[in-house]
Amino acid sequence: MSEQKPTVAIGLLSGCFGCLMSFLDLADDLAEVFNLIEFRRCPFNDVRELEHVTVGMLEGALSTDHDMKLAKEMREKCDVLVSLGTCPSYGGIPGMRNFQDSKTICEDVYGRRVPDDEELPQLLPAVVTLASVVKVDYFIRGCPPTTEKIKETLVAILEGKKVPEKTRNLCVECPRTKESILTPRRGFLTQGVRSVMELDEIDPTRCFLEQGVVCMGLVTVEGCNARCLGDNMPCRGCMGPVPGVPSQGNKLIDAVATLIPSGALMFFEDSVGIAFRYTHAADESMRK
Amino acid sequence: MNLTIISKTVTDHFSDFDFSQLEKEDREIIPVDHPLDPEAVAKIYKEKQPDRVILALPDPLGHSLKEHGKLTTLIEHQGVNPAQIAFINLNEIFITAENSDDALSRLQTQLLLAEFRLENTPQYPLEIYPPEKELILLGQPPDKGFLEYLRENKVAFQSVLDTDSGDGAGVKIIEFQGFTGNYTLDWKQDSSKKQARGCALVIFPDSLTDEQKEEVGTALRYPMLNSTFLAPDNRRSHKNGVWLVQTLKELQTALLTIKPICDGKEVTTFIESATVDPTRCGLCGTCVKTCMFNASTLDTEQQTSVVDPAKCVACGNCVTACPTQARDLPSYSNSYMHGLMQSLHGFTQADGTRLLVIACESNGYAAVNHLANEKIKVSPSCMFLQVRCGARIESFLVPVTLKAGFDGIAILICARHECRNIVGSLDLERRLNLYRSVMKANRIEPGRLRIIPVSERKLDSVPAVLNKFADYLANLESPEGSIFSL
Repeated sequence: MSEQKPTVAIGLLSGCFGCLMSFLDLADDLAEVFNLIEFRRCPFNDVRELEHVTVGMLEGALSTDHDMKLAKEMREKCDVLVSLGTCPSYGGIPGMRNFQDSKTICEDVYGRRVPDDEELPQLLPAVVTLASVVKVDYFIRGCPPTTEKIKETLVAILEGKKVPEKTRNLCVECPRTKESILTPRRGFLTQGVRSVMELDEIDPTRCFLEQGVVCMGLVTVEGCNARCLGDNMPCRGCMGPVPGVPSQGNKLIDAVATLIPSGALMFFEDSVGIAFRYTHAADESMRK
Repeated sequence: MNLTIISKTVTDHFSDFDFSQLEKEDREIIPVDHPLDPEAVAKIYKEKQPDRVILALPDPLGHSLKEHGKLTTLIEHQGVNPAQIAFINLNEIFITAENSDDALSRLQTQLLLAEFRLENTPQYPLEIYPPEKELILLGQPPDKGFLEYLRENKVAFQSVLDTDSGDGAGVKIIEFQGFTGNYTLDWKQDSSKKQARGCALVIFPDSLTDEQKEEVGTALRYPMLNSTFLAPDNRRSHKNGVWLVQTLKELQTALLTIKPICDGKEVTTFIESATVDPTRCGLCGTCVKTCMFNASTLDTEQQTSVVDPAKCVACGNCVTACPTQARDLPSYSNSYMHGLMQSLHGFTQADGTRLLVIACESNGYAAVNHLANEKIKVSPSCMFLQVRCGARIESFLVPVTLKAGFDGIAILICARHECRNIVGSLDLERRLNLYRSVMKANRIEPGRLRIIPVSERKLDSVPAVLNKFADYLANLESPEGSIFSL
């Protein structure tokens, strides 16, 4: 007779499945994981009933009334609830719909024939974070989180421990070098602001800000090993702000205004979308 | 226990004002005569031994340069940390309140705000050291009478750039730094480096050429204007040590502050600098680039940024810029700035247009104080809030203010070239102009935010601008589906 293994359920809110893909990237290590836990209702099997489980993971943003119902049900039926990915933790990409009210969005998308079948999920007035609705025990940040991070958190949960919190920004993990930022001098780092595609040559060794490219790494919490920076792309801030900072977007504005020409930034494509891309729904300045 | 000492002048303006209505559990009110006798305050202090003191007086911080610094110095000499003293400027009430009830309500709001601030101000570090005895003079005094006056008053001095003694040529001022009563001036004479140590720096700007003025201004990182008003502003900053003198009277005024320091056996001072939480510092370098006073460096061994207290003027720019909130400023801490709106609830819930006027401690607040001195009233929509400098205003404060129920925000800051912290006004404008695009994206009218630069010589222009803004806000309609209705 086998020992009772901890049980895991995974619920899907309004997400893209990317976090689960990152989980599946455990690949060869998956067997190890399946030895430690037993999956109940989740996308990997056809268990329909949501029974009481040890660990519940929710992926995707809380955007519809169906999401709200599932979130509350999961909280009731799980001992430990995990907010998997940036979507439930901060609202994520779906959170950007909060710039507009839901009625206008539907009209924009569907024109005059907005579907209104009662079986369809109804959009909530705004995307909200999971933690604003139910108590969350663990947060796994990232869009998607790294496979290592997911494994680390699962192991911590099974051992009944906390995951040590990260408290610094991404610059500490970034392999790029800084020079002009560290030289006290009046004047901006560059003459203008560019998107990374506009650079004739992307210097792979130098800080993006010093090349005139907005990098969210400044206002993003460490923990992803700066993979994007290593692949010659600026950070987009998917891990969210350093815990305790109430608004990632506002912090970017405050920091970057003294570094690169803000006049140019104002005309830059979409400074609002860049600054608030992943965290608009969680932004304390915007919530009542 | 919180003790509030309030000037009886309130009844000159509102005859039926009832001081006892301000009292509540944990808050004792003591009305005192006007003008305030600092000795009387010290006596009350010794007797009551409160945990914290709130001084509610007209112009308590001496923006009109009367009783400057004396009051707080006296209390600090009781061993009280500045973190335990808060001020309410009754002038703010006199220029806005419409009647006794309104005055009472505003004062209650101010008391809540002051109490909240006291709860969120950490203790300042206390430093005790012997002062330098000499004055450093920069430039040529207008006539011999100045040096004679110094000699008569037994003030020793050292001269730099004194053309009489022929050392004017080939002098290049490099840096000025230090603490109250303990400063160093570094300069180059031809190619050799020189240094003077002194208890204060007195500059005779009339003897400097425009080129020299600019050079000195740049090296001192100090805007060189023809006014001693600049000199003792912001008592808590190290710029206490720089005085611009054109007349003998101005020299006498300077000595009133300088002499007690250099004659004393030791300087007891609370030094305010930006603080760093090393656990949150990712060595991003934003503070290094942002600081105009070269007070910030990175210590890669200790894995943290470091503040040099001799150079830091506590302007708060690095605190606003720090992307992880590793930086903080004791007198305008993150916990105070992020949480203060809840104290203003009583004001924002009342009927009528509500306008928050944020004023920097320099020109901005001088303009506010000036109104009371000139007996000018402004729209009762206004509630005032002091900040160290425009540099300390985070963009986060804007939406939070609107969320708290204000209809608009006016920010009074020094005109660009007059900012004591060089780029305070400039960086504020950069940040908020960027933030306006966020307001637009969130369907909030950007016109609700207005930045009003104030020139030291045009303080009178402020009331008309504020009244006009209040009218504009009164007629502004809130669009349906605004972000705050979610």
